[in-house]
Amino acid sequence: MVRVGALRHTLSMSRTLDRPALAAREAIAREIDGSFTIYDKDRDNVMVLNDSASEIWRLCDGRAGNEIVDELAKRYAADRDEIQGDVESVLEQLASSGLLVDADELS
Amino acid sequence: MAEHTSEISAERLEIDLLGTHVHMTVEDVKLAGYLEHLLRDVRTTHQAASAERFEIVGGDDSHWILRHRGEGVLRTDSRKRLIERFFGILNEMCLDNYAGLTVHAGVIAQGSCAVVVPGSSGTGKSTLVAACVAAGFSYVSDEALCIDSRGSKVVAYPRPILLSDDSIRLLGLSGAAASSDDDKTPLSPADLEGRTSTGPLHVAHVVVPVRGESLVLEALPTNEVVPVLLANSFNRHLDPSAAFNLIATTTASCRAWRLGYRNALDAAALIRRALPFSRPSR
Repeated sequence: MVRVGALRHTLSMSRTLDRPALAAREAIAREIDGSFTIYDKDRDNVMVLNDSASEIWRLCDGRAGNEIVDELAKRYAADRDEIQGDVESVLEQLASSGLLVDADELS
Repeated sequence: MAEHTSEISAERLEIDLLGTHVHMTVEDVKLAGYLEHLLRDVRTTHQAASAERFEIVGGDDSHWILRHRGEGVLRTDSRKRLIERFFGILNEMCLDNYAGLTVHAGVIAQGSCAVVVPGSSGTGKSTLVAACVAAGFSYVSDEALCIDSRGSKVVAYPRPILLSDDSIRLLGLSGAAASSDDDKTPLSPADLEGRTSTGPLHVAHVVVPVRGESLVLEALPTNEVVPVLLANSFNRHLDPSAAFNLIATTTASCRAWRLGYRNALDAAALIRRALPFSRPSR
């Protein structure tokens, strides 16, 4: 089944920001007009990311969630606390959708 | 719309539709002329040994027999049923045989710029396509967006447009309805004073229709149409990952829209007025 852009917020799965985030191998991500659309081969699902979620996805290269927050705060000269909540939320949703793996678990 | 009878014997028809070659013989000259009119844009002079063979025999006593590959498929005294059955088999065959990706959608074009309107059966896309053809767009298909998997270009599938009597009346084609008791009447673009698209095509716009709403055309983020097109694909199950990549590539440079409408004629006029075609692709 194909889902349109639904990002479930799963409170039962907390993802602390000190864990490294990496795109799952089953995830095929294509950038279209600056935003990412991701296909999960295993679940046959499509997820549509908005601009800010796409920025976070772009930084999911094995760096920890805190590093992602630091990078975005620097990039936009924004208060770290303002960004942290959004980053945490997006990472949790990507993880609960099976699109992120913990880089530590792969090593 | 009156039936068309060709001045030249039209008992044999060779057509090439979406790469499926069909050889037809039709005993009923009047019916042959009608079919020739409907299929004029896909006729070919090339004869292929591997052609799908259809025969329609009879007609004098108002009974016809439809044969496919030498086997009887239908015997009927209803031209409606005969035509519906023939085009139903033809449609299924063409889409099954096509090697690329197919998506349930209506498609029209302006020059090389294709406008794709995704939607399943009964959502009104044939009527909207017909209204757009009548408004000056060229006709690509009322049934499927066909994408060549080698290069992500659009391949035309200009089967006859199937319209209900209500749609025919809406489009002001009362002559067509009067000439047939069909629930669905097949029409060619010429019946709409339009033309079939020729030449290369690329997807310039994807318009997601929402019937029953006030007339509006709103821009959407382009990536939002990817799951819509995938959900409407006939054959993505054959290779889901490849289908996703092909649709992502095909739509990478297109614009996406949401169209609210109640009346197809108004919608066609809005599409023609509002969609940009002169700008280069992004």
